[in-house]
This record gives sequence, C-alpha cells and structure tokens, in this order.
Amino acid sequence: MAYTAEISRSNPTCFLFLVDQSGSMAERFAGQANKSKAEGVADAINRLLQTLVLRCAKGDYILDRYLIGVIGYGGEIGLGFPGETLSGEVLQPVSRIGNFPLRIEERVKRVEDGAGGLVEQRVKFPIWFDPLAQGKTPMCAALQAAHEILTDFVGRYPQCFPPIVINISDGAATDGDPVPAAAALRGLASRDGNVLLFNVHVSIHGLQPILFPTAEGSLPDGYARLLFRISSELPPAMLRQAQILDMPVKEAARGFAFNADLASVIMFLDIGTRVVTRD
Amino acid sequence: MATASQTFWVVRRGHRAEEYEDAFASDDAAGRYAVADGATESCFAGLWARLLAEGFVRAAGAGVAPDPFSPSLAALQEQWCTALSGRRLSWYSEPAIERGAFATFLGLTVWEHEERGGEGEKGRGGDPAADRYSLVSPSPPLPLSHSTLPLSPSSLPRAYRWAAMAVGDACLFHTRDEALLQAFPLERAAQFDNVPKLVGSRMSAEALLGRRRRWSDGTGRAGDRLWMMTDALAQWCLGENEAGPGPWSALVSLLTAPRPAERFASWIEELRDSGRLKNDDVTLLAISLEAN
Repeated sequence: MAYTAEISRSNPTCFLFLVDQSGSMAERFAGQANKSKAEGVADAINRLLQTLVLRCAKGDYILDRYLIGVIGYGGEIGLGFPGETLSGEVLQPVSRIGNFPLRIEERVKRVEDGAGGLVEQRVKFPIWFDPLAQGKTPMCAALQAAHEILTDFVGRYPQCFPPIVINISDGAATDGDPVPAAAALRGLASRDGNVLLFNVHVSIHGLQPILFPTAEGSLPDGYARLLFRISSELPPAMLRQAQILDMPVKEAARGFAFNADLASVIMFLDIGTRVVTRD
Repeated sequence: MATASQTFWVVRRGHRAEEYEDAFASDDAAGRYAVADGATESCFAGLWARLLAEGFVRAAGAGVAPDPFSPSLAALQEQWCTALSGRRLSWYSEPAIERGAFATFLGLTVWEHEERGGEGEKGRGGDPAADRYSLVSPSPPLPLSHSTLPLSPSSLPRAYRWAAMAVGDACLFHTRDEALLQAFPLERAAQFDNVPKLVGSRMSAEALLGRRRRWSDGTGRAGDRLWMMTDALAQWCLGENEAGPGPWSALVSLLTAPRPAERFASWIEELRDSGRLKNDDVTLLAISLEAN
C-alpha cells in the first residue's frame, strides 16, 4: 500500500516549502487584522517548522526523521534558509533546523485555566522566516526548482515516504500557468507513492478559514481555486491518522488550507507511537 | 528457584543502543517481571519506561498494597522530574517535558500455588501468596475469568498462579507445549495501532486508574512458559499464531541457542528484512515455570 513507508533516520522523508515573498504579499491579510499577507506567510511557515521539529524532539536532541528545505520566490528564486548557520545545502536535517532558528520570540498564548476561563501563558516561538514582500511571483520557476531538488532526493532515498511540498502563497503567479509544473512535481514518485503537493492560500478575502476541502465550490476566487486544483488529495494512510486524531477530514480531501493553519497535516504522518491522552 | 527468566532486546534499526526506549526488569526470586515501551512521540520516554519497569519489580516487598502504582506512581513521576531538573532546556524540550513522557507498561507477578481443596482457585485467607497476588490485583480481586486451566493437584507437582496488569499494547502470552493458552491484553494482530493506552510521567493517578488499565490472571504448571514482549514482536507473534503453528517453537529454540542474545538479534534482523516485523525496539522477557 502506498504512503506507508517508515519515516525514520534510516529512511527519512523530505518537506520542501515554497514561500511566496512577492510584492503583493505586502497587502492586508484577511486572516488577522493589522497584518500583511507576508506576515501571515511568515507565521504559517514558522509554525509548520516548529511542528516538524517538535514531532522529532526526543528530549535534549532531535531525531532526524526528515530533511527540510525552503525555496523563496519573490524578486528571485532563493534556495535555502535565510541566515548564515543554515546556509549551504537546500535540504537540511530537521535537527539543524531545530537548533538554529534566527531567533526565539516570546508570544502570549491563551490557554484554558481548568476552571472554565482563559489564562495567558508565555510560550517560546522560534523564528526562521521574517516577512518579505518584493518583486514578482515566479511560482512556476519555484515549482520547477522543487522538481529538480526532489528528483535528486527520491533518487537518494527510493524507498522513502514521498516528499511533501507545501506551497504558501496568495496564488497570483506572474510567470505563467503553474498547473503543468505542479502536475510534473506531483508526478515524481518514490516506491511508496507520488510526491504530495499541498497549498496554503494566504488571501485578502475575509471568509472563514477553510481546511482540507473536497471541492472548490466554496472557494472565493480564481486564485484559491487554482491552488486547490494543484493540491494533492490526502492519501488514505493520512486520512486514517486524521481519524485517530478525531480530525474531521473527508475522503478525497485536498491538502489545501484557505487562510488556515495547515500544521495539522504534519500530525497526519505516522512516525511511531502517538501520545493520545484521551481514554 | 520456582521461575527462571531470560531477557532479550534489540534496538530499532538505525538507532544506537543508548536510544533504546523499551525497558525491562525482572526478579526471579520475587516472581516479579515488567516490560515497558517509551512512546516514540515523547521526550525522555526511555527513562520513564525504565523507572516504571524497575519501580514495579522493586515494589515486590510492598506487601498488601492493592495496586502496584497508586502508592508509587507519584514517586516514580517525581523521580522522572528530578532526573531532568537542572538541565539547560532548548525551546523544543520545554513543551515536551511539560507534557511529560509516556510509555506502555506490562507488569507480571508469578507465584507458586499450593492447591487446597474446598477453597476454590483463589485461596486468600492465610495464603502467603495472597499478599503477592494482591499487589497486582484490584481490591477486591477480579474473579478468575480464564478458567481454561483447571488445576488438578494429582497431575500438577507444582502449580503456579500469575496476575498481570497492562496499560497499552505490550503483551503477555502463556504457552504450554508450544501452544498458546492465553494472550493479554491484546488477542489478535489486527488490534495493534499507533495509539495504545499510555502511562504518563505527568498523568494524574485518577487518569491512570480509569479505563487505561487492564488486568488478567491465570494458573499454570511446571513446564509452562510466560512471554512478555513489547508491541512489534507481540503483533508478529499473534499474526503467526493466527496463521499456523505459531511462533512458539522458534522462540523456545532461541532460549537454548549457544549464544542466545546474538541469535535473537540476528533472528529479529531476518524478520525485519522480510518486512514481517515492524522496525521498532524489541524486548522479550521469557519466563519458565520450573519443576523444582
């Protein structure tokens, strides 16, 4: 069965983020007031990276179950993480990502106090990406760059759980129709299945967030529908994990988030005994 | 000695020995045995699994406490926290330590049982075994639900009883003449998944004392074997048992191999190569009920 390969240090998988850093990202973001889309993008990728690291944290070290890479696209195609410590290879082991954020901020989170109210709690929020908005939106070029990097990866790890590409964008490609490049990327495969392409749409439309839709009818504009169409369906093995986690994800759901947090998709990977504390 | 035990373990492929997150403990003299399996997705889980297994076996002298954990769980949790205090924590260890470590657990007590007519199978009053029994039994004890092994004093020079408690999917198998008599707490290979019930290092005793725990007990005789193992091997054993003659003769042959630990390790590697055994830490505690 596809998408059942072990994800481990000896058989790692790969997460590749495509991050829209174009000039249009300076526009207001509907997800939260007083925020630009670029800030929405930075929050989204920082949260995704944090989730990826936390799933591999074993105490005082991080188990290298996957490699993580980033392709920024704005004024130009930028391969790799910003900052000197993570420069070099585009794909870096998750332990390096975890150990070298640009900085760690303190944020305030509201949590239940156990007596029906909410209390504010200070939490550490590592930052790898700052908001950036400049130039055009060469999404096709970014998808092609991803194709090249992942061709090499599946060549090196032919038995791997298929790489997952997460494209975070407002959907307004300026270098042509991204559909063929996206299809080529999804056409790449390891022996365990095809590359999964998921999309996070950061939009100015103030609709309710939409996560894992099964059809494009509810989406507000052409950009959202385009990103929906190029998104892979969640494979059955991931749907099963979603069920285990009591997440309402339907069959034929796409890996697509409209102004929503896609971090839960990382929880749909089976990397061993889960901690589910309900009885 | 009434029981004798051998322990085998192999770390997950691709991991170093110090990354082993299962744990085991045994005390043949006290008839106490435990295996535990630290959850992949939690921090310092190997340490927690060790504390649980060793804590259970050490509690042999705890007397008539009705539960092996309720008096000592808090102390074990405290030990886990103490072991981690004073460390410089990175941003990713803090939330994980706050959440705690998690492990599955299986504890077993075995004792010789002197058959006495008229008292039924659970002679309690004045029976020195009763104290040891009560260590792993709720109070009042559960009725013997597995009455498939009627004891007959004339045919049993030595009779044994065992009682086990489990949280999660580490399993106990009771075999006789290479046939499975009882499997606990899971009975079919299809019952395994990646969300077993877990004991947490920060979990309240109430949460643990709820529906997570399972109990079982049984009777045995000299020559029987009890196998305790963590989930990967347990799932394979149940699958083999469902498919045909079962894995028991293969397991028995390991015990008498010239270098059992090496033989076990290479056997596990073969099973992994064949794709029939999940790549996970593997722990096996083999206990034989002796004739003398």
